[in-house]
Amino acid sequence: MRKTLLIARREYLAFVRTVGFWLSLFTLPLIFSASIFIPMLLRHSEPPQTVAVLDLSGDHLEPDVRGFIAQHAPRPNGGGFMDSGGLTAVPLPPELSSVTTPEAAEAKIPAVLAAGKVGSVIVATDDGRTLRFRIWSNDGHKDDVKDAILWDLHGLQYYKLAGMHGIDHGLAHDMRESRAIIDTVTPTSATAPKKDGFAEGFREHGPRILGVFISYITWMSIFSSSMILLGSVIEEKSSKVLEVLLASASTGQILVGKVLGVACVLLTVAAMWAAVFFAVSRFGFGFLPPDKAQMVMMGLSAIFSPERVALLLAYFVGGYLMFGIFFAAIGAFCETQKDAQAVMGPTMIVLMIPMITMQTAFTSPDLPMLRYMSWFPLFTPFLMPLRLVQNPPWWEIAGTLALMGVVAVLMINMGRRAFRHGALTGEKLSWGALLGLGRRDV
Amino acid sequence: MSGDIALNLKGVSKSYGDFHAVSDLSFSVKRGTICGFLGPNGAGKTSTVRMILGLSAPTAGEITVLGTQGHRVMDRIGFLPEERGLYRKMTAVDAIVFLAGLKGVKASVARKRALDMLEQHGLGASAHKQIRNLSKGMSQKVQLIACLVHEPELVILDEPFSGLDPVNQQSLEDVIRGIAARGGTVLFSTHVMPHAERLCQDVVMLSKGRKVFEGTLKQACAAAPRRLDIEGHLSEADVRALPGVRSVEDLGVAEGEGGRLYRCELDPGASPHTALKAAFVKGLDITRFEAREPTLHDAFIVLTGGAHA
Repeated sequence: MRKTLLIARREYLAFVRTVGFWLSLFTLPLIFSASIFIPMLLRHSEPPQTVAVLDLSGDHLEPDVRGFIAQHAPRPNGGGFMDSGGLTAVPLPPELSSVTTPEAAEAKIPAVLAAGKVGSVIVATDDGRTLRFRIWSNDGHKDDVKDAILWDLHGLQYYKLAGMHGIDHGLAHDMRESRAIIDTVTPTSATAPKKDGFAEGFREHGPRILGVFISYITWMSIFSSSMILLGSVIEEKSSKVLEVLLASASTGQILVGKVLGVACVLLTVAAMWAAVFFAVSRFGFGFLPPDKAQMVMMGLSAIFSPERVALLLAYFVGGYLMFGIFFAAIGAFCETQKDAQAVMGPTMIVLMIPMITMQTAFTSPDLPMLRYMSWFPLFTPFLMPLRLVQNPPWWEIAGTLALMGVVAVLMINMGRRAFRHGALTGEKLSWGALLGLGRRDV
Repeated sequence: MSGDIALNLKGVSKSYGDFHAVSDLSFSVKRGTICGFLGPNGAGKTSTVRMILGLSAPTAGEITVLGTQGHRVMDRIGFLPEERGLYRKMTAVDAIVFLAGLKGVKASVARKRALDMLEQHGLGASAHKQIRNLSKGMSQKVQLIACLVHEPELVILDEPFSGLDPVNQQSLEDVIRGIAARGGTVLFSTHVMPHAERLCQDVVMLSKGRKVFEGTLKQACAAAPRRLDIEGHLSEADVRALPGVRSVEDLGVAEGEGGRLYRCELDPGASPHTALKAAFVKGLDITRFEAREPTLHDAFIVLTGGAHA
């Protein structure tokens, strides 16, 4: 045990003492945080868009349109963090106030926009039956105004047509606002508090999103740790340290030590990322109403129950041992990363299959194929965390764990022998070397 | 008696499929001695060393190391592999302390010993430098220190002199003598005979996986015929007729006024003195008569069947 811990300690320190480790450690959370917050900040810092209305319809639409724009005015105190700059209705620039035809307007508007006198100009016309709104904006803001007041403008056409058919405006308004009651219900959402769309949505989609998230994290962790192990063993093989190690410790002690050391590296990374996630979440929760923030916390607590966390860890450990020791065995045959290509290619394909499956599972978590694939031991560590949040039957959990455990033990045994063989011989890497020679000792 | 034996191999064989790397090998090494494990390239030395270390299992036979059979005694063995290497990004002292730790030495003790030994070997100033910043000779010394820092009872050195300059070779010879002087046992494999000749009391020779000799250095040398260099104005037939001369090689005209130079190989047990007396009796015109004692190199060539040394 002492030797195992010494090897683990060396392995751990070899990584965490490098500048590259700390750079890569903070790079991902920084990129993750930046990809969320920078667009939000950009939107928040955007000034309100000024909109002028040139009403050539003869229907006195300008007050209505200005009213619609006013509904999207910038919120007092800066508004929500996600809010954009909003819209502000402004008087027509002098150049357009005397315009009486659409053609004349079209001729003058580009210059007005270019001069920065106004952000957008809505030109309203009426051919007697259909209203037309040409919304001019500067490049990069083509749809901003349309997206904000689209349905309001359609409403004006609705009322116009109702009026043409002699329908009372009040009745037309009621008709326009009238909606059938349509509910989509699942057993989970049915238990959500009534009229709380956020809670319902969280209960309905939260576990699935978290399941996919956990599966991705598991995949990334196992993949990156396996690559670390591969690189570490290749370095030891190329620098001729492996034989010295083997003369001082057993293959099992070396392999377990290395696996443990890299696991500690992973734990360090996980702790750092968890701290960043926690900080970001606290920041994010600050923008949620207290009741919703509390509900999210309760939902997360329910998903990450102790039993589920234990199962997630069990699947992770199984996958880590299977792939980590396999990659370490590959490394024992190689002096360069290039030497590993012959076996790495097919292995990467096997690893990519669950990754691709996860993307489908995001939208269709109950596919039978996903269930069958999760029983394949090499996919189990990645697909079962995804299914775990859907509460699969206990016998499936036990069965997949048992199968994965058996394959992990077989792979550890084979990997241990292949590792020793690779370390002590100059044999080149091949599937034959790994599988055939892995069955017997050197 | 077994307490005097540091290493004992009995009928050890090692096969890789149809290839027999080592066949029915038996020999023993006494405690406190330096034993040369000699053989040409591919003779099975490294395979044997790996079996002794427990890195690979023998196909047949028994190996007893430091009185223990079937158990790993790696913590009591120091091993310097033929292909040397250390963690390039570790400092010299950290690398030694790490490897000593794997041999069961406490970190504080290992660190003190490492610093002392580095100092003794002229590497005190490089103790805290990364291995990658040391010269090849310096890093080899660091590895040798790592092999010895846990004060092993048995030291196995696989081709320890390869890659070392003459000064460091001499230094390593002194280190090996020092190990034996403090009661340690050294088994070192080499195919460079002068080192073995200077260091060993006993030698074991291997050829094609089989033992061809086990005994003292003197016994090994005796296995090779004595040689004579005879220079003078005489014919090859004159030389061939001398008593005890088994074969004669004409090396051509000698330098100066010496006539021709002949190199003779004597029969086993034949005395150069007898041949010299006979030459005088015959009145041969001899300007130089030099008896050459057989070297370990000669014995090696004879015993390994002329394999390349």
